[in-house]
Amino acid sequence: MTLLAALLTGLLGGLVIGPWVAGGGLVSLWALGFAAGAGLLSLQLLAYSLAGVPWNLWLILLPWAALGAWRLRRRPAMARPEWPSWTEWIALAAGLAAPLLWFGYERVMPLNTRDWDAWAIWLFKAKAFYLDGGVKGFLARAGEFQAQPSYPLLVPLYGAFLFIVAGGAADPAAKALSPCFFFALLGAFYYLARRLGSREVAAVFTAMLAGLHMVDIVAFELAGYADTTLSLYLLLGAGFVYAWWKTQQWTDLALASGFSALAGWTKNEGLFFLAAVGALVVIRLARERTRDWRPWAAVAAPPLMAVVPWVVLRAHYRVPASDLLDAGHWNWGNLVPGVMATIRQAFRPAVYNLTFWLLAASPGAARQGAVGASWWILPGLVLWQMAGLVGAYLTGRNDLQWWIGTSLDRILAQVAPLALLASAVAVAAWTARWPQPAPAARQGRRDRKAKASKGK
Amino acid sequence: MRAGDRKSACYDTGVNFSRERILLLGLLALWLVFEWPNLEEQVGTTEQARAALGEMPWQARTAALDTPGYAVAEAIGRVVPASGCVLVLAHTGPEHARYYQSRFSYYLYPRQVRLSDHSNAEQKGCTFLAVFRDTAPNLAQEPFRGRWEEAEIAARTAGMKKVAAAPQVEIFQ
Repeated sequence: MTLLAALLTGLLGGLVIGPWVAGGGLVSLWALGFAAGAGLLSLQLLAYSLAGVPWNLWLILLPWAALGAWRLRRRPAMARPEWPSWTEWIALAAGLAAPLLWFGYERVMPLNTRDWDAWAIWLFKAKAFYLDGGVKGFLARAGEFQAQPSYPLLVPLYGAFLFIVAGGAADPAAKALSPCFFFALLGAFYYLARRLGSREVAAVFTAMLAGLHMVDIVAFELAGYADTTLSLYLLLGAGFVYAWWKTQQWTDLALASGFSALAGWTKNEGLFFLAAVGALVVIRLARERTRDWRPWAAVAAPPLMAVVPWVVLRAHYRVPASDLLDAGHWNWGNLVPGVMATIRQAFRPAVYNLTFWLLAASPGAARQGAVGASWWILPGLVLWQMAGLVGAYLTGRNDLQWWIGTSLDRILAQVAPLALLASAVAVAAWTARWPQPAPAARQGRRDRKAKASKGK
Repeated sequence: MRAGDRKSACYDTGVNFSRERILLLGLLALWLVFEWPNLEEQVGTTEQARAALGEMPWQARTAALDTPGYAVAEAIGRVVPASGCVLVLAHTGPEHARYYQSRFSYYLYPRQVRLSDHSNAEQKGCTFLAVFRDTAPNLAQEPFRGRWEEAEIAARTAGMKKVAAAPQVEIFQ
């Protein structure tokens, strides 16, 4: 049933963004559609709850059916499938090993054996929303629970959607949420790495991401946390901002703004990311004195739809905001230990493999590949998110060692896919400048071989 | 022309080693070298989990991993109605108490669940009282640090009706 819900989500999201996604295959279209669909479905459930519309599956699907009927007139332009090269087959085999292994484990384990926030925060709200048939009942009682009521609601509301499809508050359905986002993360990464880089680089780097230990742990062992979801939206937000910088197409900007807004609707770290993306876009549009209204609408509408309603609702129900900004003082003594812990952990190959080593080396490849200054958007946003983490440590809200132990790995796992994308783009640009044997020469070699074998 | 365009323009499915392919496959091989120990460990963990839990239905697996939280919540859920409120007096360590509070909230929603490690905790309008004594292994892991008087519990439950009892928990109304 969860598989059906995941396919349906990808289809629904694909109806909205399909025409804007340039040249992706079926898997990429599903992945991007899933990312968009999960966010839009969560917002739809929120809107229904506030408007008093019951959470009935058919009522939820009704507007999507209308959209589907309208879209039937225009099919999304999908890339023609090409037979994979042997390098890609190797990458596929290498990339499948870890997810298949972890997926088997995740399906056996009913609970996380460590860190129970998945159930105390995210899936608890999903269950409460589903049983109440809306968000109001839980929010009115928010003070009763250790459930971080101020956290954004994309994951709990999408979890409620999975329950609606499953027809009950079935724990296995909710727990499958993280693996679904993980597979969408792989598809989205491949799409971006291929579009911004090259096909074989995309295949190899996607295989590397699939086996990235901490990303696997967060997706499968800590299933139910919002971190895999957030890493998907951070990747897509940053990837499409970079794409917009290169193409200047307002549809890329709309996707960048939409996915960044969904990051803010997923976790508070996503709001920090949204602020950076918003600032980048507004500065560029202002410098170019853009008169076209569409880029401005594309950048403003998604945050207005995805973030503002929650801020208003939270104020209405007097749900206390995260006390991060209310800390009242800064503990600068945490700066050096916080930075050092982040660097030490990021560069541990046993946990993050070569992700951050490659990121550190990638400016050299980017320079050789002449990708241009806009490439720095990708690593810049990785560093921005890491700076946000250190900034949180500076508030001194918790014991630093405890905080590092409970947060650092998940935050680094959130940005690891984006760090790999930055490296993939740089490597693709660098290798594209290497001299290649001309296709004609290769054809000539094949012809000579064929002649020789005939002669025998 | 984008890098991707150039690649697909001269795309070749034959086995040839361009410099790019050597670099990419070398990178992937190096990546797998670092990944291998984690994969090996995960194979063992997955096999252990399958051997211990694989044959059980989902609820039994939850109960096996969440001992005694799941069984206690089941017992409470059977007698406390969805609109009800239960005060759980918990003889357990402070970190375990936080864990049980969140687990019971999850299992028993929409019931109101209040948990305290003080035997004199106020009832505050809750019609049900559950007396929960954690297992010895859990208490050995984290000792009890609250306030617990058996005589006090006996006195406050004397006028109540015991509606259910299960290992580790008694429930009164």
